[in-house]
Amino acid sequence: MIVFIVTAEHTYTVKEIVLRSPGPRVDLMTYDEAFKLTSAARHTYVFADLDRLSRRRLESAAKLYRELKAAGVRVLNDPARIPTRYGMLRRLYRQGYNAFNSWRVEE
Amino acid sequence: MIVFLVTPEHPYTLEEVTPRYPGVTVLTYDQLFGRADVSLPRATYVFSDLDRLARWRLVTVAGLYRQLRGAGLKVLNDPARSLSRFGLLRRLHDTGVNDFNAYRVEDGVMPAKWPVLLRQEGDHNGPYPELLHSPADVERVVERLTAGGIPVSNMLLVEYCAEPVIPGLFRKLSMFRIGEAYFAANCVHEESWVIKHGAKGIATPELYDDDFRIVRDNPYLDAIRPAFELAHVEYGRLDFALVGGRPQVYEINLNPHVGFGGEHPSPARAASFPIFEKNFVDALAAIDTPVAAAAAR
Repeated sequence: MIVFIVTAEHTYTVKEIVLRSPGPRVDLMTYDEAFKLTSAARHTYVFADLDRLSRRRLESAAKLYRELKAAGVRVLNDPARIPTRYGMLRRLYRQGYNAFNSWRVEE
Repeated sequence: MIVFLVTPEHPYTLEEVTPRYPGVTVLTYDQLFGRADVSLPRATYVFSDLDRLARWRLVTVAGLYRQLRGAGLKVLNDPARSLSRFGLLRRLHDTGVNDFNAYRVEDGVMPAKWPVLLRQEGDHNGPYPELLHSPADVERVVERLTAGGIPVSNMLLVEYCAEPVIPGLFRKLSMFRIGEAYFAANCVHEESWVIKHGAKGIATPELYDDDFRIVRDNPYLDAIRPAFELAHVEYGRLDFALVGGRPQVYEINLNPHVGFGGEHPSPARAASFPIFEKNFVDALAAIDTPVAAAAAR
């Protein structure tokens, strides 16, 4: 089984595959639910919606990711290593992948 | 009535204020948005803790700020105009207020000046307690912290800019803004450049006398006021230090822990506590909205 962890406001993005996955079973869980886990079944967990978490919850997600990983569970998207949109676009430009750059307006 | 809006994890900051100014109410953003009753009391609303909110929530909160302002209520700290720690430090550098710059780690750009310290957005527990002197240092510490679960997207590098006020002792100064009132808070002294709470009685009598003068006269107002204005902060505490005689701004805390002192071995320090308390309470009175039964929305 594959479990997508999403924010409570954006569960709709994976509902279609939860209902109609032609392959492995797919389920979803909100971060509110994930943070209350006391034990985790041996599924694959996908940390989605990371850009919508507050900084505190992003850190909590990163710790949960590490706990699951240490327990031998397959986990995707390390919350501690995922850049913001700005960080990703800036790096893609600097490394020559993108021909365009980005700036933070507040700067 | 003054309503302070805070995150659920940080409602304690005004615990010493409410007994002295009963018109203050603390409400968490979750309580506010979870209310079945959509009417809010006619009051002054202070939007604090903005740097701890998720981005989507910041947008929601900015909408509420506009609703309240549109209803004719007094509102402090526009969430849509608040700057991140990075944004504030970068602007303070680029406008010449600060002599040091800041960088987002995820940007991948190394600082122009060394050493640097590593900080996190939205975190007020102080920097990583080791100065970093080279790109190799940065790579090593960032990797260690990231591996431990600290998100790299929150990390900043800040050029070190501090100096001891006397040999072996560092001093952090603070100034509050509440509405149109600006006033100094007590200095904090520690032996390390990482200054958080201070060490009681560690300074010299001369430094405590200077502290009293600062709290009484607020002599750095003209130098610091532009930083508050640049940051669009109408309620908060700005932390700074003097380096080469020039004020250098480190951060503005939108939900600072407010304390009114107590016993202290220095008479000068003890004498400064009531001055700060009076300034704080007077400033609250100036932004207060008289209680009325009318609802805001």
